[in-house]
Amino acid sequence: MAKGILERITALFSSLFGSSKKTITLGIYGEPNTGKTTLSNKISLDWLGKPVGTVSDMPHETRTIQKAEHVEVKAGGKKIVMNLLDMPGLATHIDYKKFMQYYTVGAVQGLDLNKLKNSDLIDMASKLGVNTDGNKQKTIQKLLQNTDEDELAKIAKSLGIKVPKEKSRKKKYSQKEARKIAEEATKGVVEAIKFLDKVDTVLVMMDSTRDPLSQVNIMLVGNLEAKGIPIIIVANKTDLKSAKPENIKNAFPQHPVVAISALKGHNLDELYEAIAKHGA
Amino acid sequence: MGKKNKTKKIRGLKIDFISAQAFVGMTLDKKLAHILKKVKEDHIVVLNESLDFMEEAKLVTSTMEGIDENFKGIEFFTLPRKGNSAIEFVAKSFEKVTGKQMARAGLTLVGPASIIKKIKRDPQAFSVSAEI
Repeated sequence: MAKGILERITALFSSLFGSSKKTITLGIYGEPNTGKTTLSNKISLDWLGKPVGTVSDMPHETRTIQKAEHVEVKAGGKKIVMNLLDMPGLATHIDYKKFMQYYTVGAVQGLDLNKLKNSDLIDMASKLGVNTDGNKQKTIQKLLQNTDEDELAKIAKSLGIKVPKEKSRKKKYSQKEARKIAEEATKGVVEAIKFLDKVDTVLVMMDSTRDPLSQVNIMLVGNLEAKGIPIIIVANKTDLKSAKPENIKNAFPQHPVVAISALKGHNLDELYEAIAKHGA
Repeated sequence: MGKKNKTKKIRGLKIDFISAQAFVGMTLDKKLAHILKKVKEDHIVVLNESLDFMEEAKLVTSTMEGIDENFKGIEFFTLPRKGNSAIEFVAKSFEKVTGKQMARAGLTLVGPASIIKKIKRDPQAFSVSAEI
């Protein structure tokens, strides 16, 4: 009984002062190629200093659940602690022949800050007004947390620093490999759907250049609503000219929609604030 | 010499319109197995009932478990049913107790992904583009 009272008092103080450190399980769901792994990597790189998974333009690149545990994110004066789950893409059909064409694996446009000298990184941090203790990885993290890649590229240019872009490579699978990928992808879809019972909050990733009213999106949002799981819809790929995040807002007006570019790191602060506000 | 009774096989779109009554009393697994059997035979199945979101998720997982070299998967659409929470509660309770499905007003279309190329969706309607 005394324990129960103590828990209530702790919860009351937490709610009053925003110091709650409850860990939420945040699932990132959506159709293939909506940027789930790009966003997971961005969050994990910014706050843990390591990526979650491989990025490519091949659908179903992520075929098993990828995890980043105990990610502490600061947003809107609050600290969110979360276990991040990057889910395999949800689909209603998978054709192994689609995997037998060339795909680009690895970051296509991301800046490779690791290739820079530490002194250059410190100069960039100083220009941005960010304090750093001189540790290279921590400096990179702080740079990424405080601004997006476009801004970093501008700062580097103004300082005469040339930032190399991360290299990507082309890959093509054999028929045997493609069949195996298809088999793994089907299992990934089943696993992701079963995992809907184990997440506290879901980021529903949508590609702002596509029609948001796909059956997968409708089914996903409907299932989450039926289970009472908080939803934040992420309208991704706003860096592309054909992006229409307003279509997503119109299609799902009952849920918060945050327009971002996971690739460029645009508007992630707003996303973190939405997680802090709406997350369970 | 008797005439040969030639049966000409018609190539074209095969659509099965199935009454919801055909599934009354059937478990969800049996119902989905029946639908997917038809879809694997390249039929488009149209039901005069809607699936709920949980059933749709089950349809997707059942489809995934059946994908092979010949069967690539499905495209489907369910028109939302009219919400009546009291009727819905009674129907759900009946299903829980008996383990059998009741029909729900609405419309569902399920077809092979190899034939249905595009479904344009609207909250109140949908149009299907198919290719044989």
